[in-house]
Amino acid sequence: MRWSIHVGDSSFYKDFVEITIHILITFVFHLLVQAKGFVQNSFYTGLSAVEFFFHTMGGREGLVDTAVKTADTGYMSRRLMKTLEDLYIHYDNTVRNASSCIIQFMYGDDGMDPSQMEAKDGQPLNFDRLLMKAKATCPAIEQKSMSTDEIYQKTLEVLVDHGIVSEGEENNKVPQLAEQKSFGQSLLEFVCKKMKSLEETQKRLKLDGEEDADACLESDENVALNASGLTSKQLEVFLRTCLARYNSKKIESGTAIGAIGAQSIGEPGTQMTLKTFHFAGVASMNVTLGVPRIKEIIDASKDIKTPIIDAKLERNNDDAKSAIVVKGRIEKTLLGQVAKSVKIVMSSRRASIVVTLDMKVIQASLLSIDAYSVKQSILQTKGLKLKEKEKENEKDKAKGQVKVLNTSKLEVIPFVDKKNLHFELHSLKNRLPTVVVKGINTVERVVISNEKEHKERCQLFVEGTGLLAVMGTEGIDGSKTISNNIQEVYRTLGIEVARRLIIDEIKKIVEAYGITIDIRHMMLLAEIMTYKGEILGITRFGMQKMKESVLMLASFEKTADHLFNASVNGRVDKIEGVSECIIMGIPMQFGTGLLKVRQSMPPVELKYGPDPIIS
Amino acid sequence: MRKSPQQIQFTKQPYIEDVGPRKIESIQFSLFNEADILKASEVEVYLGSYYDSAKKPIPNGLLDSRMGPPNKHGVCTTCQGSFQQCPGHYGYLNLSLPVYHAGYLTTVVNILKCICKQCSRILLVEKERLDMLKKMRSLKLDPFRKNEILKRVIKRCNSMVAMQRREMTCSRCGYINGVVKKATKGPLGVIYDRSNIDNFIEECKSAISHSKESKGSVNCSSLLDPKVVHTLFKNMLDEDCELLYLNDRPDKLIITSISVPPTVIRPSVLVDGGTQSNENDITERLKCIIRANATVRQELTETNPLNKSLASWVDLQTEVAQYINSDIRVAQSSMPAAKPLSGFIQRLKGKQGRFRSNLSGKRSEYTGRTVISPDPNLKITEVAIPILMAQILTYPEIVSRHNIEKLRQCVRNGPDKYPGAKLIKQTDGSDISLQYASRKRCADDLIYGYTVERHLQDGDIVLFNRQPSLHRMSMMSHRARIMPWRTLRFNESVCNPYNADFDGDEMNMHVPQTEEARTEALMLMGVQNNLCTPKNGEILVASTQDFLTSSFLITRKDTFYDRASFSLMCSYMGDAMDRVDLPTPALVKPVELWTGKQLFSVLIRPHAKMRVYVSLTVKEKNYDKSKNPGPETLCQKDGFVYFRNSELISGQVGKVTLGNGNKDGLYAILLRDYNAHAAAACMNRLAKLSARWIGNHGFSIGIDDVQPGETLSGTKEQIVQAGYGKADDLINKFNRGELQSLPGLDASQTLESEISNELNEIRENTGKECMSSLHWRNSPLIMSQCGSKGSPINISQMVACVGQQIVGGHRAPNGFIDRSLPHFPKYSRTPSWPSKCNGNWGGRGRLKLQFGSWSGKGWKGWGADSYTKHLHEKLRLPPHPSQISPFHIIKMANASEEARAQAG
Repeated sequence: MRWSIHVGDSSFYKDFVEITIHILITFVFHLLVQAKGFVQNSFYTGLSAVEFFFHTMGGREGLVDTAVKTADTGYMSRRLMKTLEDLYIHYDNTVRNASSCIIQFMYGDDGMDPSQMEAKDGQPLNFDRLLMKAKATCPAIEQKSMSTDEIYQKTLEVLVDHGIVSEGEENNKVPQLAEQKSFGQSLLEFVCKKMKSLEETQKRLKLDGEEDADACLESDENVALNASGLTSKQLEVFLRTCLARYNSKKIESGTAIGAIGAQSIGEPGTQMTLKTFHFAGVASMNVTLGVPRIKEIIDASKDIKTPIIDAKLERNNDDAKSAIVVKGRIEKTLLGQVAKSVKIVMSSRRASIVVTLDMKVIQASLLSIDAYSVKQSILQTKGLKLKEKEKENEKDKAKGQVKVLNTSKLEVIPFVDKKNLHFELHSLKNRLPTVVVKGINTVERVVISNEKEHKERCQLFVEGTGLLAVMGTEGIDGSKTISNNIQEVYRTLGIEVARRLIIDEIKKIVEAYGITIDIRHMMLLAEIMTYKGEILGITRFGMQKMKESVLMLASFEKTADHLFNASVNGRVDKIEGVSECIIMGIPMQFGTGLLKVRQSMPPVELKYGPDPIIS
Repeated sequence: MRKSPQQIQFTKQPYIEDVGPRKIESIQFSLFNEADILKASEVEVYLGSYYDSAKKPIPNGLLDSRMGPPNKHGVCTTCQGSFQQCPGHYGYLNLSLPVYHAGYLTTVVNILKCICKQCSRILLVEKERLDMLKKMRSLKLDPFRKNEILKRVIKRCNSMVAMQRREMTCSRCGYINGVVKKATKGPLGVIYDRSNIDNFIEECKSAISHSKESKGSVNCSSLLDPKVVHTLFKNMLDEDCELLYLNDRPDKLIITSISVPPTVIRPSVLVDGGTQSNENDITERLKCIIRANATVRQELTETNPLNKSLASWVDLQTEVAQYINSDIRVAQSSMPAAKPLSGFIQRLKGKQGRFRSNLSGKRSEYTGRTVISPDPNLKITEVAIPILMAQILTYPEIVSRHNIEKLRQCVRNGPDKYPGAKLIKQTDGSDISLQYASRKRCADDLIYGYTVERHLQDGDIVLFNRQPSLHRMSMMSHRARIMPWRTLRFNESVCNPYNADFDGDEMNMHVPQTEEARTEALMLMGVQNNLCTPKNGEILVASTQDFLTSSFLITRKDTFYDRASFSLMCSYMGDAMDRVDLPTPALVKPVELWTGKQLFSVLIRPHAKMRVYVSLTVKEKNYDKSKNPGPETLCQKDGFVYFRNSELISGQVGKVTLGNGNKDGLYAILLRDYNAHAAAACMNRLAKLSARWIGNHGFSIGIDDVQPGETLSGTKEQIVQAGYGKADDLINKFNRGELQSLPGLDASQTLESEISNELNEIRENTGKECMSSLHWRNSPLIMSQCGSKGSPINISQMVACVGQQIVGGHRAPNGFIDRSLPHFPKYSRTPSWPSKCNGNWGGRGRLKLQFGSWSGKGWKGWGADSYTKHLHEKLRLPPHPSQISPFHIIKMANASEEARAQAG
């Protein structure tokens, strides 16, 4: 490689050229990483031109994301508000809508106010802190600390007195989900845990009273006992505080929790980006997250971008090898992937297509196919219209016959006359490799990965739909298989599971961005989507099925259609919901509008000024 | 509204029962027919002109004054009301021929699909009909279900007709029905296709198949015109109407006469000082309708049969359709107007339509808006309102025994002097404006029961709001404090729920006008009642930015104050007017010294009579999370905050204790254990203390805070080179084909993923080095540790290395063919160069010069002859920048291009 330099003769130019060559040689950045955007400098040392340009590209993406995101989340927020606006807590603690249909029998299943929840996961009370406060404000002077049995007995007494725990309930060993534990049970559990740690501490300090219980203890042992123990007064203060606080956190009747829930779910939308993250653990699977996924869930769309079925293998069959076998049973295998050749064979009497299977590949991937199963698959494929036997009579619509030659060869003979033979043969030749010979044909891909908690066990991630078929596959534990496609789960498993899935899916998305939303809001949203027995999306179609008021539907979308249809059908709009009350200028029927004040007005005697009646 | 002078005189006043105020309970929608329209109107409109030569509206024209005042200055003839008072009166316009209603066309087509076109009975067989009727009449009156039943009926009838022959015969009259469809292209209409009868169309086709004309589609469809449909509908039975979910007679769906809306809803605007008048879109549309109507009438009475084409009927139909919904496209767009005149539906729908823009949300009075600015001396429940705003916004206060003297003074001050009043409303409803009336006399004449609209004063309740209002805390109620200057001011702690910053944001203010509204605002929307968010129960109104930094600095382990400084700082909280009990000093001899943590304890519980006992433990951001932490209370970095009975025992307080987004911070505990007032008072004290303390202490950031030290630069070089080396290895492996793919990815994707990991590691390692090498007084470090602003990644980007830029989840994409920028050669993932980046000028703002590189052999490859070696020796020193000009450099780069081109 040469280059020619045309410079003048003066030494200045020569030096100059040398200098620039040096620059060329030495100021060369590493091609690889610089070419793809790695900025090696800090802001202090300054960025080069190319680095600056790449930084601009990265920053620009963020700005565009923000701009698009606000419009999307704004519309989603508006839809949520319109659907949830007239839900409120009635005086019988149920959640009903404007036409008094019951949505929830008790808000959040426990009737608590989400804005007053003190503990991290939405539990009403933080027992640790309350115990610390009780011990700090109620010093243990001149009282002996209690033994663990005494503590337990006293707690049980107080709880039974107040009706929180029923008599035999402490022996109830039914395992329950964390959020279903009642308040009384969680309090009892906390006390038991505390007792155990107290026992531990006392054992370590050798204070368990194995010695003579009446012997007067040394003063610092006394101090140690009091610091680590619990006196009766402290326990009493603690229990009383817990109960009083718990009762004060119940939600007030008339609260518009529909609107609060819609705002709580719609407002964090602006903090979520539009990008997708990679699926945790498996590098190659992409699952939609963020605002697009929430939109899919809320719209109850029939097909979603990344439907994934989470399948667990049966207990005794969960090693890697059986995972591959099961994967083979589920993943869609096409004939073209296992056939060695698909050839047109023409003889003088007839022409046909011969399919030869590649048995080595089939055995390597642990599939269990042979020519007979392939024949069945071909016969079952729609659109090919092939039959098993010869053409019987005129009315038979079959286009061809499939015969098995041996365990790895098949022959397909078309029944057409000479004019169309060539076309038929070639069209069959093109279509045969796309026949699904094994697996479920709605499944795109199956990925094997290790389970999160028990690393040696495998589980399968199936991309695609077909939950029923996957659950029924041999080797899969059907009771632990779940999909993330809500419509499919509704069809396969029912409405209650669909409700639970909506809650779990929204929780997953929101947690991935580090945002916390109280689960009661998500439960309310799931309830209103499923209370009619089918999944209703939060769109104008779903809203028509949920609501009855003409004015509300007209003020949302499709104004003209709703008004015209209402007039044809002679509909009556009872002004019950929020939108209608705002349009008509009447106060709403909940919150402060739930009650009216009656005043007795004695006639006012105006001592000064003219009598207003005579004027 | 003044009544006209001829009023009927009663000898005895009729008794009108007073039932008290009434409320609208429900609305029912229904249809209008011709008789109703005639009954409701005042005048028949048939002339298409507006004004006569004297600028008076023509009688029976479109702007007849019997329908209302024609413009802002007119008077109504019917009720003598002015433009503001007259409610408007309808008119009517008889059409010569009926037309379809654009909004009901779908319904009309659906009905036609279900009835026989001759006898007007429904097409279903008797048994089916009774079945469906019973379902429709069932008591589960859900309108959605009824619509579903209707759809099924329609589908059934349609499918019966669409199938061949026999089925289409009406069971009652024997007429054979065809398929009914809505006309898609061209004018509005209903297409009736009877071509499938008796092979009719086949015969026709075979008949013309000999001729040479096009054998194209032979259409035997006709249009059902509105008159025929009107007659059909008139003959329908009521039972059938019920089955088809029609509340009224279906003949009302066809327009036979148009109800002309009153002039008040389509006023004309006078332009050019009264000479020209611009008419409303609806008025112009009506004019076109009148014109088309006249044409149709003329044609009907035309005697010459050759000229009858009834194209004018189609025109009339189009005009009426566009009057209602101007979005309906018609075939003739010979005159595409600049902006088509809007119809009724355009007035209602969309974001700017009646519903969303005038009914669900309205512009309201007693509001104001300005720029906001911070003020830490205000309580969190207060907002500072400029006097100029307070003089415009008023509150109607009713005169009573308690406030009559104060209001008298306000009335005497008048609207221009603050505090004053603008208006007096007397009990009979009449107003006295204090601008012009004699104020002293009005003040003396004040009677109990009058309402005085007085200026806003200290302590009034106002609603304060910032848009976009995403949650209910974006609008909260504050107490007003009237102050000079021109911005709205509030305490910075309350910035977070509004999501406001002070870079020019504006906020709105509303004044509630009744006592009930004020109470509701205070009790429900007050700042104190909205300290925590219903989203998850976390604290929303809490200390931010500077307050956190100053708290962090105050509670360091080595801050000590003597008596004078300590007392001074205690007086900072609360304006030196509250009682403070000094705690026992931490050090007694030789000098009495208090620690910064004790100052914090005084903040929470200033005097002993205040029985606020706070106990909490939190782990701050700088809590030591290393492998062997030891007991949590003995954290090395003083990161375990422990309050016991309102004394701060250990730990530096930062964002986790005082900031938002936590359920176990200081304010949350105060809120739960005591009440909102305690938490608000604590926030107020902290704000005042921080503002004054940090003003004296000083806190700033300088260039030496981001300057990397010697060791850091060296370490960074090493890490970068090592990382590059590893990347090189990976690429070589990939080139040789030895790279092992990760599960699920192919080789090149694996390469990308591995390289990305390497580069991210470079940045992380340099970041860690950088954080550990910073001095403890480094300002960005302090701010990152306490959580007020910034994070370790910001610091490492400033000091050490910016890192890999990511677009769309991947490294820079190849925007140019096979390369990301034209500065690089194609396929420049492969290295061809041993990287030598000596010569660290430290760009410092100047552009670092960038050159392309050649692919191919390394520089050693092109002849490491003595000349080039000599050059390299001589020029190892970086040259002075002034000796290089861009011009020459570009020339060299071009030469290299040529060279590359030559080499191929």
